[in-house]
Amino acid sequence: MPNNPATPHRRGLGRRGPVPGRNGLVPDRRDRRAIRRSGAVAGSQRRLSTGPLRGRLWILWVVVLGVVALWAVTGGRLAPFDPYAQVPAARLLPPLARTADGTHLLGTDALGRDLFSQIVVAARLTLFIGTAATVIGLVIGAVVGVCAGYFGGWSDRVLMRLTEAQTALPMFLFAILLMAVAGASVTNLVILLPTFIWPTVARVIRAETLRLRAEPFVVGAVALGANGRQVVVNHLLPNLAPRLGVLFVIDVGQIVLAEAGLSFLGAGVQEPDLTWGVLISEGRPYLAVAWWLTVMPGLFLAAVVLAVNMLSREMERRSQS
Amino acid sequence: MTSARLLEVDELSVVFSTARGEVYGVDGVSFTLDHGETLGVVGESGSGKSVTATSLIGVRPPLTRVRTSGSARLEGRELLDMSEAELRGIRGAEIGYVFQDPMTALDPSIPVGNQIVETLLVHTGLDKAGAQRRAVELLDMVGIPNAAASTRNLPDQFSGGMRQRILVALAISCRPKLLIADEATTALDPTVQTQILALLRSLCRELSMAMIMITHDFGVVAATCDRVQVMYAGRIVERGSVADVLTGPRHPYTAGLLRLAPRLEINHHHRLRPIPGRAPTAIRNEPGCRFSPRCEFADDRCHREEPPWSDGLTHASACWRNPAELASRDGGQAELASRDGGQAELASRDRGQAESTMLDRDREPR
Amino acid sequence: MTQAVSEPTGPGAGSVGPQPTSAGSAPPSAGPGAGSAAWRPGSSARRADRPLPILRVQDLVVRHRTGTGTEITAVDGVSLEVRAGETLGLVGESGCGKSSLANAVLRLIPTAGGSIVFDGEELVGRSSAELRRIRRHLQVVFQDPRGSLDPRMRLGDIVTEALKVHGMNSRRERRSIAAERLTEVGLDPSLAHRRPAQLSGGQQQRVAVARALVTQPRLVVLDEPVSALDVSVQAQVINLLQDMQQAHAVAYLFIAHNLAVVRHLSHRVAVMYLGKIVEQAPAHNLFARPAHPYTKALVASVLPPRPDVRQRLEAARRLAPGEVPSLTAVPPGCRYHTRCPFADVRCRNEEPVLSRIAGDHAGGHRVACHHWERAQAAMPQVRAH
Repeated sequence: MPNNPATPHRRGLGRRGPVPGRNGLVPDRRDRRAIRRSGAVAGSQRRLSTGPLRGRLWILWVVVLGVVALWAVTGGRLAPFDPYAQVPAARLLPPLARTADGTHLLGTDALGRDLFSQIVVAARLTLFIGTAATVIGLVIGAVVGVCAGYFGGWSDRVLMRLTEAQTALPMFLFAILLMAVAGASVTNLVILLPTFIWPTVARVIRAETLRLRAEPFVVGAVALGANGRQVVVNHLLPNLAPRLGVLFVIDVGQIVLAEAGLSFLGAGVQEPDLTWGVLISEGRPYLAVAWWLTVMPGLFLAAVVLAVNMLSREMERRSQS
Repeated sequence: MTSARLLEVDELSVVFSTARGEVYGVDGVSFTLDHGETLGVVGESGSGKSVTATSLIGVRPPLTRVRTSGSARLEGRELLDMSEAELRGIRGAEIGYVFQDPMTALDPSIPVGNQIVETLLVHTGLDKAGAQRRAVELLDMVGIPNAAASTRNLPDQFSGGMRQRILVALAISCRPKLLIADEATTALDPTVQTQILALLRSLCRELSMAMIMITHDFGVVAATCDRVQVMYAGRIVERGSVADVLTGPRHPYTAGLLRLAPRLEINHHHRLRPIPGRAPTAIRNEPGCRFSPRCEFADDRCHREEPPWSDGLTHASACWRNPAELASRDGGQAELASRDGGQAELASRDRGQAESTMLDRDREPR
Repeated sequence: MTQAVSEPTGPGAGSVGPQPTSAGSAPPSAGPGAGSAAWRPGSSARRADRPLPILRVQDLVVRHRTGTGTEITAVDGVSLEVRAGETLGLVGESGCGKSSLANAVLRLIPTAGGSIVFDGEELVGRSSAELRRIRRHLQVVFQDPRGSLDPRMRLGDIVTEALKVHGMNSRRERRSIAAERLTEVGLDPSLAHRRPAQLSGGQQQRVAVARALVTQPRLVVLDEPVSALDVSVQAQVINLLQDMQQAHAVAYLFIAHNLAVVRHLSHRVAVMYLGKIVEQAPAHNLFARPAHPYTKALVASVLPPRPDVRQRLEAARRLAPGEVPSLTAVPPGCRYHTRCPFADVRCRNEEPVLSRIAGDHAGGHRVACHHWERAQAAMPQVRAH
């Protein structure tokens, strides 16, 4: 017999004393305590995993979105000042500046209007244009993508050439041209902005559909007798939903920025209508002297996009566990 | 102190910190391996058999916090204390590793010859020309037809079996003292599997290399190994010589595994007798025998206290119940085991006759 | 329910192609030595008349186009039949075409020739609407239990999806059926509201079995249903498949590469190699007296957990040296001649036809080999080494 497999070998183990008892092969409680004490890794991990905010950060994002949504719904009634009231004496005041009227939380603009109030009022149109245009873009993109990916054949070729043509166009110039012809209005903007995103949405959804179509559960549905509509409705759309959610989060930002860009060039939202994009572009000339005019609306924009993003992740996590 | 043994693993524990608390990959595993010896490690997924092996070469799953404790010594040198640089000197050079999936283990964009040459240049004193000659020798040794020309081919120009041969060539390129085959033949077709197993066995003999064969298949162990240890939920539950364990399993889990697999030569009157339930997916630090929730013999003590190792020099198990007790309660298994044992004896005496006996039994009308 | 089994017609029927039916021979299981297939579901009910073929595949050809554009013939003129209530095992190694055959039978991939008659109806050339109606009786369980269940659906809806698709029951009925079926496959009915990710692989495969059986199909194609499972769970699912066959009198086309599992579940077995069936026989016959050298190699490759298995390793290695040739370069003559220890000039030039072996009184043992007598006789020596 070359060796003795059942005998515990504890020679040369200087780090720990010998463990008594005939059960030498399995660590006893003392050993386990030693193991637990042995790593600094465990300590840092514990802090990470048991902090007070762990798993509850999503509440913050709900609050952010809730407040902005409330502003949008109430339409300026929550604004501390009249956003359109020009006070020449209070021009370009920095954030937290006090005047006779009260505290300008985020300062004032070149005409002495309260920036915070403007942001509150602009929330409505910003959210409306952002969500409406994004949803329209996603719907068009999803329909095109699913048809191209699932049914394939000529519909795939036609739809994909179409999206390529769309991608090849200089979209921004094209948009300015169209808005100039059709007239700059919120309605036209909501019709036009989806064209910025739907080609990419269609491509992503087509690729995802192609992947899903080969999944055993989709093949299985076909095998048990489901028709095209049933496969799409019961299997493809539910499984595309998370991807669409991600696309929504990405594209909302892009749409709002595109809207801001068009508004800045005079081809988008026109004063007196206000969006955060309009505010950012209005503040741009004063960047050197009044940074808050661009940074503050920008922060709100970023916060909303981030909140949507984080919440979608949280929902994804919950749906999985 | 220099050790006569090639590998001594002592109280090895690997603990993963996850979002849901600490999970044991391996929980206090000890074993030894002599030069030139082949050891089978049998277990299901999550039993810790692969974690044991990868922790020997210091490979950890990415993005995971891992804590390793205990000791693992290769010829007396502590592997667990080694720096990454020292480990690189061990991996490939002294411990060869063959993975399950040859496609991911080989770089798809580099000709296979160059991958072997690279390893040789890192670990041996060979010059480039020498390394290239050696690469051809190695490919020839593992049975790649037309080895010299094959060195220039990319991995995907080979079939799965050939890729696994190339991986074996890579693993033995620096004449390691220990070869770890981690489910190395699981993904292969049966006829190719037997080829690779035969190859591994003859290489071990020729190069007097020790091997740890990690698998879920007792048949693979029986075909290639001297000794076997069975793992369940991070712990070793039974160990011994292959013949002893296969013919007279002592731990209920081992007995269950041997009993439940359908076999070609055993008549199929009776249904399979599966082990109820399933193995834990996350092993936690809980008292009692890990197998007790699924064990038909478990009593209060099994749930409460860790079982001791039964004394036995060549064959031992960690179970509170003694083997005789198990055999009397589990008549079918005892009968099966003894029948197999009898068969093994017959086979060694007169194999042809044993085989035909076996077939006759199969043909008998019932 | 009336069953008109159409006899094979069309150009393939009269040709030299292999004929699967043991035309006019005695019923299988009539001979005294043939009864060792341990368990015969549904046989008690229809012992009087011979079980009718529920599936008859005739000269089936399936072609694929590879990434480089070359066309390969994955299934090349295969004929087989599955009788009502029985299990036909289909074994072979990767690339032998067994999965292509299964997908063709399920009409998930197009066929390039031959016919597939299921329950008396020709499936080739059917419109997709007609196929959808037939699919109620023809179900499938895939290998990958995780992938074959829609991660977004609840288990109850997954189990009863076929009923919904075929408009068979009301929502309320479906809910109670789902609970019933989950219980039947050994799962807690409260799981109906869970999603697949919350189950283990074995439980997922139980759900897949329940789903396949919910419409009371006549045939279920099992495509490697236990290969992805842990060994201790495999046995549970194998038993479940047997129980379900007994309870529902369903026929299985069981595809696997694990011979021991195939042996355990199947009444008859067909062995495929490079797109052709090389041997077909009742399970006990095939494994006790394999006639084709490839079948012998497969049988020898099964490594039972016995200490004497080492000798087998060498024998198996000698029986099937080398590798399965690529489908892009199928060897001429007998496809196995490149690896066969018995091959000679004739094997390299002349393709053997699947035909009944002499002296097979029980019926149903067919082999496509020029030298099957020598191969079969060589058995003891082969296994002794």
